[in-house]
Amino acid sequence: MSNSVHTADPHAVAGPGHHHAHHFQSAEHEFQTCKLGMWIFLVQEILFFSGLFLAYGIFRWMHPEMFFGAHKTLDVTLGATNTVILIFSSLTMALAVRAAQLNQRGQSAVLLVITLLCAFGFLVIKYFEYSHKFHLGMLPGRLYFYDGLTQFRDPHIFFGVYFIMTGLHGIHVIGGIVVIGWILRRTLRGEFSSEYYTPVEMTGLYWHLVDLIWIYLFPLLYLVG
Amino acid sequence: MSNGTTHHVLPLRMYIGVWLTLMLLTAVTVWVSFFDFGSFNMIVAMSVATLKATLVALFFMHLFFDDRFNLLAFLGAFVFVGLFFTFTFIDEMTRGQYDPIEANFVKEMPPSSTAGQQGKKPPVEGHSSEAGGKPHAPAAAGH
Repeated sequence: MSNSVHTADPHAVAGPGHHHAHHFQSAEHEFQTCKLGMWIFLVQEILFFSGLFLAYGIFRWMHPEMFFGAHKTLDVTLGATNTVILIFSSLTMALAVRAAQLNQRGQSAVLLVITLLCAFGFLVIKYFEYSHKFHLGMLPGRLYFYDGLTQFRDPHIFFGVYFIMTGLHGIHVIGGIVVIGWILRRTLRGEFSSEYYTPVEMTGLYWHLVDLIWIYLFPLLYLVG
Repeated sequence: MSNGTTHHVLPLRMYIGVWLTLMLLTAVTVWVSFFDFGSFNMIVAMSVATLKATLVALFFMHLFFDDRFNLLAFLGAFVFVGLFFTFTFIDEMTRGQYDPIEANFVKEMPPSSTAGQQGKKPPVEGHSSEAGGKPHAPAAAGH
């Protein structure tokens, strides 16, 4: 194996099938560079979502009573259940990264599967919430035809904000499912080890950010309106 | 085997502890929402959410143990979010204070909109002669 070439450099030993790219000094250098790149991407994600949080803030400031009235139509139990599911999946993801660090491939795979199941569970609950609202006509903009909330002006604005914010977050959950699935496949193929688990770590960071955004969406939409 | 010195494998009990704290804070934020603190509702909810987000970022995302530059990048995002919010809110909250607002609303829902009235949507600005009849010239024109 060409691994022997690197044995002089304690940092250079890579996992099976992985050697750091030639423009990095060491595997550690590559790992840290990847991580910084991932953080820059996550910062972009925060700024991306901040536009929607700002829209929420401004519309809520313009229509405080309507926001309060319309947020009562959301089911706190379902929202809280989804919060618990996402936070638990963040734990299992963090532990999957830890298992990869410890070379526990099987455990890492099991934890990734649990994370995936949580992600699907989140989407199933979201599906029931959405279909209930579609049915009642609590839809954004001109699609709105709900016959409650008549005491408020422009309740369709709340549902516009609700669907865009949770919808974009939901798309991120779907993206997470795709990436975690890919990482699971690579874990099962034995591509990661305590020496090389960079993609697992980066996927973990992404998944935690999806959780982080929901941590704000849940109180803003379901609790305080 | 050569784990780089920066690769901490953190103890399992730290992860479990952080998770239990997050669960507790979720319960707190739901429980607190049953009480009405007036304008403090938002402050309480956002404080709890920020505490939770801090725990996730520091421990699940390892920022507490990581290269400080990653933390700087992360916190930098919030500096720019703060600028974005501050200036947009200053704009929104002071509109009409110096010049009257002459814009038309893009679309207004009739106050008594019901399910049966779906076909009768008010005209959308730009397509109706009424909107065309009231051209909203820039407020600054002529000043």
